[in-house]
Amino acid sequence: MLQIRYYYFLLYLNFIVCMIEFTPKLIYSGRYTGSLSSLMLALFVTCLMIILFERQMNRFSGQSIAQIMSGTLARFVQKSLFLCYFVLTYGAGLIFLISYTQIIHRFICPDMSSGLLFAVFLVLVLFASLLASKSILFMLEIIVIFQIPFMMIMILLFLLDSNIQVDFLLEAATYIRHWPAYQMIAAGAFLFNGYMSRLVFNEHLVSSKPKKQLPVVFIIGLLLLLAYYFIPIGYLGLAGIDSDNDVWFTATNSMRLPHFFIERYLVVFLMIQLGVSLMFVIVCCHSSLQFLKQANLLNGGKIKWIWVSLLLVLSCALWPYMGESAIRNSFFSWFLNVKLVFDILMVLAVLCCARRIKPA
Amino acid sequence: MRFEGLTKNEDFLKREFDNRYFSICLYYLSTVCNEDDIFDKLISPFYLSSSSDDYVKYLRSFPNCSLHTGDDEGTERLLDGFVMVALNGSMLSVRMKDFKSRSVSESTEENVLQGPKDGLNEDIHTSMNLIRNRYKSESLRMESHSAGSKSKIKLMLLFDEQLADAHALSELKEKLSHIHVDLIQSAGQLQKNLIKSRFNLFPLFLTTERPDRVVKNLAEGKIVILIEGSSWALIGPAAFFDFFKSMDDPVQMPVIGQFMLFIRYVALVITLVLPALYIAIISYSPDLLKVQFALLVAGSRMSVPFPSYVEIMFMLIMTEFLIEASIRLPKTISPTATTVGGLILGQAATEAGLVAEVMIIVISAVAISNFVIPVNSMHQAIRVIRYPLIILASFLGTIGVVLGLLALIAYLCNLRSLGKPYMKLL
Repeated sequence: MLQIRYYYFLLYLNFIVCMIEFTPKLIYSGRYTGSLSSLMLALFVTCLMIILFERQMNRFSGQSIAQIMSGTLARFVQKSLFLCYFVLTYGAGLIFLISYTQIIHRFICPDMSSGLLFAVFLVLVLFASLLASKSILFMLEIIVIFQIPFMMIMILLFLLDSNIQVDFLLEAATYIRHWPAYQMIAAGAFLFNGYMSRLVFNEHLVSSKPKKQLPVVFIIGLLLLLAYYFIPIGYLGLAGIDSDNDVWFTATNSMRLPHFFIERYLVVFLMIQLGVSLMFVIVCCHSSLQFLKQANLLNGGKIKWIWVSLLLVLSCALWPYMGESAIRNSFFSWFLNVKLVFDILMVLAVLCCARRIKPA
Repeated sequence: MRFEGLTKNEDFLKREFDNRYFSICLYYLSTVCNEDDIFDKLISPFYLSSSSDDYVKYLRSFPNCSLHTGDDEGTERLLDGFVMVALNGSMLSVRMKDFKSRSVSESTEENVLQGPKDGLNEDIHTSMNLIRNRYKSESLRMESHSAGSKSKIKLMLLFDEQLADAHALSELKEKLSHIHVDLIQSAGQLQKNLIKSRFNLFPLFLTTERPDRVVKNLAEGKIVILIEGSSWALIGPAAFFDFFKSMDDPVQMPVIGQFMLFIRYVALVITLVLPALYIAIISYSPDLLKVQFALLVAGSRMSVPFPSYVEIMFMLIMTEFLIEASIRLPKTISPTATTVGGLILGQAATEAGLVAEVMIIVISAVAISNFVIPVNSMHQAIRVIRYPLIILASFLGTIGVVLGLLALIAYLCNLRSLGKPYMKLL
């Protein structure tokens, strides 16, 4: 059994990866209406969800999700739920991988074919996702701890930058008085969606103390949210942020490290984000394989390789269709809505199981 | 005739003695036994004793004395330096072993500034003596095993019963019982046989020749294997980060110790990543660097006719030759080799315009920082793992470096040393 800190690393990883892709476009589209208030509300809502979810999961410390559900839900329902989650997690991984491949292609190596990059990433991700769950958690810890200083440097650079227009920030902050909107809350909630990974890793984690950890989670979440919302606005301006697809990369491209041998912070940020994003995709892929395993469809060495090659072929087949960022964005907002429904279903199912064992 | 298998050896002796009351027959191998001891402790008392019962009682007072019936067990004992005493139809064995080894000397491979200087010994009893005297705990257990069907090397398992992990211990014992090789002579060989996987690069056991390190690890709940005839001990389960600790760290003030540790990790990153990063930046994305710096590098590469990966491979392999040669060469010649290799080759290569000056700095930084890693087996592993990274960087640029590092972390995280995770922070 591992300490609970790995669970918080999963939360952090989810935030860090989701903050640079897909969600900014959605969030900044509502910057003149309720996006800031939606983000704040999303933080409160997810904190409540996390507490509720953790409390239920703590009763099943050391059990896999199939073990938790056995006896409460019919095997058929379980299997179909796991299969849906297999598709969802794999889909999430794939869409992030494709999107990040395009970003790397655009910002770091435009002269290299994006197909080659995608293929190399895919091979690494699939092989790494075959590791034991514990190994994935150890890897996650190292990557996240390596990333944290760079996040701090970024926030520091932002705070010390004299080119930041404080007026923009103040102006953006005034929109907090607007009412929040559902789509924005969903996007904000997705940032903190990492807690769902506990479904996969629960059998390796000890129980958490949700109430004791909550202030830390809340404060760090709030800090990250503020950084997430205000750093791009500070650099690009409230109006200028509109036309941009990769808000974060244009914003970090404005950051300078004048006394370092690498001058543009973007380069450092991209490299670190590449590592973190690949880690996220590895966690997604691993989760999807684990859901298959829970559905009893991944027994034996041969079947494992069949599934892996199937995933490989499927990813390569989907790659040409996802090349356009507009398609990815619309797919993502569709995906966001479906995922939220399934997450609620899953939490309810866990709640059901927890109620059942309560009298015993 | 007894001990058929040994009779053809010239060092096998069978000596019969008779006093007025009874007679005995001694069998032993003269090369592994101390004949002075045999005379003083077995033959002289024999002529002084008046009955065979008294003599048997006297023999029984020896610490390792035991009674034997089978020939096979006796042969094994003879090979291990015992003398077999036959009297009244029974066979007793008494240890008269003579193990030629040096006396306790300074540890030569793991140097420290302060702290004890003595090193482990080829004689397992001397090593155990050094350890016991430093770790006076009643829960310290010593268990003997043997390895190698021909060498039959004696191994001694040391662990603190209260601290050592039971799973790790049973796994180690099982692994030891499954070793089927003829010869085991050193800690490295034993480690190779314990790990099994042919493509494993990283040492999963810590090797040390310092008794203070052994004791420190015992106190941390690790298991130590001492090997007869080798002055190196194996310590397991080991984690990746253990290989970066030196015995100097506990001696220093805490902050200084932490700083030293930090320096070693910086050195690790430099020696691992710098050559690959050089290729990636020079050949793929020179725009990463500051303009003045990029121009400086480009300027120093003006006359170089090769792509950067040829340049760096050439110099790295030269450095490997230099390191390899200076280990094997006699002590009188090795300074000449280093001068010719280091100074003349480096200087001449840059003057001829074959390699850039910046590259020489890179290579020297890489070589120096490699030596900072305190445990030899780890620095060999890092030396090798650089090359896949270089190849990845030559094909994929900076992306290749990041991918290579990720793959390396994944590989390390998946390793287990005696069931314990190899790469786990805290």
